[in-house]
Amino acid sequence: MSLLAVTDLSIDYAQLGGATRAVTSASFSMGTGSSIGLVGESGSGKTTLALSLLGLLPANGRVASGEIHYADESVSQYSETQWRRLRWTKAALVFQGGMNALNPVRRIVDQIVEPMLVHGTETTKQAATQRAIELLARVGIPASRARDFPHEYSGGMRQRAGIAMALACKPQLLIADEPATAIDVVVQAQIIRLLAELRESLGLALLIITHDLGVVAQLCDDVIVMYASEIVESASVRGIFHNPKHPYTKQLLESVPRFSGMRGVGAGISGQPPSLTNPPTGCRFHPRCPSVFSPCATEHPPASRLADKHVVACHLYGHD
Amino acid sequence: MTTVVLSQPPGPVTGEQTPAVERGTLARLARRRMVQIGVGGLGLFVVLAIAGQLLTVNGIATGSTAASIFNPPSLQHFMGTDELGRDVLTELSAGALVSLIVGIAATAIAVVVGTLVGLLAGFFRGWLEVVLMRFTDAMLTVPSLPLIIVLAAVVGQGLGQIVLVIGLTSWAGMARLIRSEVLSLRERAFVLRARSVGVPPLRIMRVHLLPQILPLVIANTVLISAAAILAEATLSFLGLGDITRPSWGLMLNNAFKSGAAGRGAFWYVLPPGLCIAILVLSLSFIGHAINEELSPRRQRQ
Amino acid sequence: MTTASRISSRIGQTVLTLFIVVTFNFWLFRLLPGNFTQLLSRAGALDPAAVASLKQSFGLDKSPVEQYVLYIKNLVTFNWGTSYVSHQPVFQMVFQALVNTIVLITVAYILTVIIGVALGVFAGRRAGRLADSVTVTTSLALWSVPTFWLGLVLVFIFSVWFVGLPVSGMTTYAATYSTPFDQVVDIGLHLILPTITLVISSIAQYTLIMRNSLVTVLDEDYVTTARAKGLSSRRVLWRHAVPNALLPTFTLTWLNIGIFLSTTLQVEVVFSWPGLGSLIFQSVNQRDYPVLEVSFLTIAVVVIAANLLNDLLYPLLDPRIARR
Repeated sequence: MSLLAVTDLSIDYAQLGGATRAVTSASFSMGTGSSIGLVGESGSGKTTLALSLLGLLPANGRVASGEIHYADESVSQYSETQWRRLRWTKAALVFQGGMNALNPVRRIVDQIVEPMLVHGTETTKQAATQRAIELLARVGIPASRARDFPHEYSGGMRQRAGIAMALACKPQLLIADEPATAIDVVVQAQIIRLLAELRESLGLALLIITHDLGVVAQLCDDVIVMYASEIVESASVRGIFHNPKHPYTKQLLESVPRFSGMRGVGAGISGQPPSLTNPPTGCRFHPRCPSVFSPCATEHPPASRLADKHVVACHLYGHD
Repeated sequence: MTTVVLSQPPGPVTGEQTPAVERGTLARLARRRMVQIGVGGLGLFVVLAIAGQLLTVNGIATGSTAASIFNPPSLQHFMGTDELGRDVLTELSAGALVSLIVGIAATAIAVVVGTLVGLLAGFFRGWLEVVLMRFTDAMLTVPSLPLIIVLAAVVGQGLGQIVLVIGLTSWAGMARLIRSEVLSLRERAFVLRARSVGVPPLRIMRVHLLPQILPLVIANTVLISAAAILAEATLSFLGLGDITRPSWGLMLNNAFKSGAAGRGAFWYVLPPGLCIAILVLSLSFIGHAINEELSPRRQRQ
Repeated sequence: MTTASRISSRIGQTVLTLFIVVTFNFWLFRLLPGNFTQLLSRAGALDPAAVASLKQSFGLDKSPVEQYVLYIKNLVTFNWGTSYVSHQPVFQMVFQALVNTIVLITVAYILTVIIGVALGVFAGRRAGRLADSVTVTTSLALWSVPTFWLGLVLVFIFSVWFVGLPVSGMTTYAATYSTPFDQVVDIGLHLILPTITLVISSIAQYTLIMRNSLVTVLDEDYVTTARAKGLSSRRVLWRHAVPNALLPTFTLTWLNIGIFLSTTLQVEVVFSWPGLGSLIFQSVNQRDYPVLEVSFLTIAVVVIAANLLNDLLYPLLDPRIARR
């Protein structure tokens, strides 16, 4: 039984002059303690997908079709109250860089204590405070800094505090949106080590949303690649890094600067990410694709399963 | 560790001179309901002011007899008569002219002074900025109405003096705004480039800075004119305006002093205030809409 | 910047602003070219004693610098001269008027801020919806209505249609009170209409600022965090969004005292409330310059003090500034 299962999920944003589809028919599932990297350029729909998992879509966003299951329970008909009970207890969010994820006028410790008391995972203020201080210690923040305000922390400390806060109600799933962006490289490495260590010791499942393949390589078992609201390829980390299939995935990997090997500078991806209001016909990647051929511009590529975990949506593989 | 950052969608190329107002802004503004209502209201008073000058049907003074004063609206006097038997509608149209004149002239003074002070302080920095901004802050701090009253009492009560007083007390907010905008603009690439190749300061201000701050100036011009019209009306109501010209504020002053309210002469008490409110509201609608259109939040979407 | 140096720099700025205002005042009433004699003649028929005391207190025979020094000395020693009209000490008149103004604005100001903020929250959390645009439009409309006219209309309504509430003055004319409580009730009744006028005229700015501020805050990541924590929408709003949105509004409440006093001046004139505004109005019309000058300075000083108070109190609310 999976911890989280997403089936055929599509999400629309209402806009002047019609809806924009931000996520198109996404399916994936996560088991206890698993770790998936959701990779794509900004605007590919990955953050929208993450927010929908907690029922946090903005007012103009809505799930157009598909299902989200936590364990065996479908959340499609959830009321706001039911969502509230689910949030932070089943899955918690860690925001990008922690910069604005913490309320600037409230003390760190109070912000960690709050969800425990609201969800009743701790009954007294003292017990909750005690646990908050333990959590902060767990992520490497001394008790003496617990009563600080967010602006008194460095970027790395804010990110750690964000992680400690996410652990408050013992969720089984941590959704991290760009957990290692906007902080310097050394701190980035520390945060990644911390997440890996927490996953190991607490049996946490991690859903890492990022455009940084390096983070994925270090933290995840599996990778989902999104392009223009669609999942174009999903595979194990090994599969993606050693045997990428989709031309987009290949280009992503080629844009990685390597320390060893022949190429010194990444090739990058030519062209602009497509607009979601008016996406290209056929395969959405075809205007930027080096291997484009006859069906690409007109037919939408079907997903084909190449190996046990390796699925790709590309005309190069669809017709065997 | 390999750190990979995928290509991000290109943001605006910072430092380049981008047009401050994209094309289509005007068209989008024109589609806004608030702008349509605002321009409509403004047009109404322009027509009223012009019509009043062209055809003065029922002359202002018709001699006051007991029978001719405080007449309710009738076919002869569409909006009734006042405490001296004058036609209220005729007075209203004369008042529209005064309000528009003061609105335009005082605002022009305030905008020129405010923009100049803001530009100079923001561009040259140093002691000039310190002196100008200290003075601006003092102007912003002192409550405007008492200041206007004291100035008007000292300078005198002609229409020209009133315009001058209101104009010279309304520029400080504008100066602040322009200065902070110029402070950020002067570090942008196109200004730095112009400065490094020795373009004279006045030319940089005229060619590079002024076009960039223009939208900000325009939005605030509209709002300043609204406040200027209110200030003139208030001053006239207090009896400190030009008492030789019928203005909306003066009409209300006469109504107040003659006890029109107590006598139930609603046709005399209500219209001047409604005229002020509608004219000021029309202008603030337009200003509000321009501000919304220019706000960064709107541009992000 | 440390707290101590920040405070001392703010006090320095305040003193500078005071200096500018006082100097401006001095220059305006004395050194405006050719204007002083004009003022004297426009002051009309003064009795010779008043003219003499005027000339002496202004030190007209002395140099401008000496006049200025004398002026400052008189100001700080509360030696503010006597009224041309009532021959009372200016200090006494201005002080009494200031007290009356404070009585009028205290309740009105608190009401204005509370209702304005509440309406701002109401509109801000419904941004883009009908309730929001109705609130914004109404606020702009209220801002556009001239205060003095709103007062006139209220006088009209309550002297023609609903006779009963007092529409003029601070107490009933020639009333005698059996207990001090009766006097308080009488003043309270006289406060009702001026207060309503003040609140309606001033509310819009607070509503609009609070609304815009809340709309910005609701877009912040920490609000999404709060929602993601499973907090109720009420708790997200009042515990996380509103406290942050209140910060700019708090600053406005102090900085806007000047605008509020301008509004109060009109209300005092319309309702004949014997405060500073009425005093300024009367002294202008009667060319009672010593009174005019000091009343104006008093209002300016009150506003400058409010600004200083804002800068000193703000850090207590915003932790980002407190420890910087």
